[in-house]
Amino acid sequence: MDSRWTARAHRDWLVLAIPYGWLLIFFLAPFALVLKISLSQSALRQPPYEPVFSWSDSFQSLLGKLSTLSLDSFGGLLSDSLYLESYISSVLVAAVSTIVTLLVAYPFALAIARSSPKIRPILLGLAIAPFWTSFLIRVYAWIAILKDEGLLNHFLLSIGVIDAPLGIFATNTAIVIGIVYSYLPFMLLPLYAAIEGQDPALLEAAADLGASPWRAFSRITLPLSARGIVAGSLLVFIPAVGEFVIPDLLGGSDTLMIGRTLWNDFFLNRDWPTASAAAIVLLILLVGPLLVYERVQLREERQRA
Amino acid sequence: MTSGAPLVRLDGVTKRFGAVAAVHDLSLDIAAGEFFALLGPSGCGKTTLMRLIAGFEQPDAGRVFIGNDDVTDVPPHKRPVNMMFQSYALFPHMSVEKNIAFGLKQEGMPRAEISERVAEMLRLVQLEGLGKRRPDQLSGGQKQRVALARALAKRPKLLLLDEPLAALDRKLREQTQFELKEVQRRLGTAFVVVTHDQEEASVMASRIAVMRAGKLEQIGTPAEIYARPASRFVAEFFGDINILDGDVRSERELLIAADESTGRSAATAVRPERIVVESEAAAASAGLPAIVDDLAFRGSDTLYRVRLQSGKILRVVASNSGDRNAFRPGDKVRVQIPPDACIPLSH
Repeated sequence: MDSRWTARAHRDWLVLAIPYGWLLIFFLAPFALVLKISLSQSALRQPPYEPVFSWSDSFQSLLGKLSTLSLDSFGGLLSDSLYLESYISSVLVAAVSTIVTLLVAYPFALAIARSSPKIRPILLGLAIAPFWTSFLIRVYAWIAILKDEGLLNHFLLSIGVIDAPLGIFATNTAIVIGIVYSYLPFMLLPLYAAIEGQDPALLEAAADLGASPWRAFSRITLPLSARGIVAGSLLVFIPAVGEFVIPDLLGGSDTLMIGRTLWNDFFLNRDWPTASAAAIVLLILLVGPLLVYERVQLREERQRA
Repeated sequence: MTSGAPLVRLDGVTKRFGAVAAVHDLSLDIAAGEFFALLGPSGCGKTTLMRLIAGFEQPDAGRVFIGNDDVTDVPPHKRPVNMMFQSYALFPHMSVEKNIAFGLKQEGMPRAEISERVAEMLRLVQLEGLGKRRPDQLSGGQKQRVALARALAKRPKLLLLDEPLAALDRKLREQTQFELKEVQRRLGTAFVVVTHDQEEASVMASRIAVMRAGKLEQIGTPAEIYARPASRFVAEFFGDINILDGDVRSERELLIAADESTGRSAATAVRPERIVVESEAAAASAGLPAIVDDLAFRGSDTLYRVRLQSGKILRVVASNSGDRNAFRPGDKVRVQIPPDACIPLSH
């Protein structure tokens, strides 16, 4: 074999090894740990589950420990309606948040993409500017805005739009507002990219053929930005389902979201196996939308090729 | 529309972009059914003029009429003209059929009629069988045809074509020029084509408007413009030409009667094929002494670069038909310019 060819094959292999090595260490290994814990039994010890494997286990004791692994925790998820309700509520809140984010971000993206090329970077920069401060601080700020004696209610009361505080703090509405605010850039950027990349002559052609501005938008701009809509929606929906900080800070005590339920199981109930099982189910739940995203991307690439 | 009224009338139209007037106080009539070309170098305002007719630009002054209607304030989607875009602007997410049907759907044509018309258009541009393809599955020439079919589907009285052949390779371009002419003749639709290519304009158009810096330099048939360019700019832009100025006067034999009598001509233009070159030995005494500097054999004719005694180089084209003697570089020759070949240029 040509030595140059082998050298190149080695280099190609190295290029692949880096990201896959990264995934192996930082994704697959922790996932294996969580999977193992989900198959264990809860125990009053440190760590709070058993069995615990150790390098010094004899083969016999290893087999004994393996035989105690079971799917009991997954069964527990089914028997306790708390989990099912948490999943449903999380998916609903995430879905509503995604739709609202899309409705807010689309006009933004459209306006930026249609603005003069000179000010586009400035407008995009402004949209991303909140990322320069801590996420936590920004969510805390929303408490000050949304609570009954907060800025929003104070303002609406003072101009006489409402007679009593809206009472949206510590509700799912507050969570949706928090998610929409926090994740807006993740929707905005793919939408902007999808709209900005369109040939402006397409809209002129549509107008020339008799389409009103609204029809030109709905027949040309909107379908051609489908890729951006799908990408942005998944970038918002997927993390929103498992979101913990926003429901914890803006939600009420009755808020059921899976991120919070997980947290409670880990840190309050110290039921690590059940919490791990819930985390794995969440992951499986999100694989569906992820596959959709992958397929859209693949189709897009094949079309471009 | 009453007969007599032009299909399109531009009346004193001005369009500024910032401080620059892309179109300046321009008036122009285009008749129904004609093949009209807007010709000029890039930046002369020809595309802006077309966009003013289509409605994509609003004039800063002047009016635009289509038929008898003042359409100056009518948005593009309500104007009875269609345009073929330079980039074709085919909708990438729609099949060829859907692209062609787009305009018909907008006007609410019944479904059966639409599919009939789409089939007719596909036949017209010889793309039968490709209706289900998407634009990215077509060659450049096929895309061009789809764009043409889409723009013609609504049977507009006027079709605007923005550099319709710019994206095609040379061979396809010539073939397409004749196809466009054929389609235009068959449908009787008025075509207004924007081009920077003088040859393309001559091949296709029955009338040409030469534009420069937002103004019309000359309007006429290709033959008229070729024979009598109205200005030095048109003369130089439209076909091969020799411009003789200043130093011509020193060549006594070249003093042109018309030039002297009118006394206002600053320069004289002569088409290369109108200049006669004879070998010094064979020539009658008339004519300017000159030396053949270089030549280029071009098949049907030969281009000579002939140097006069003043140092001025003339381009001369001699047909290669018959058994005329070809000259060689360095040959001493006599050059004759028939008086009727001299085109006085005013500026």
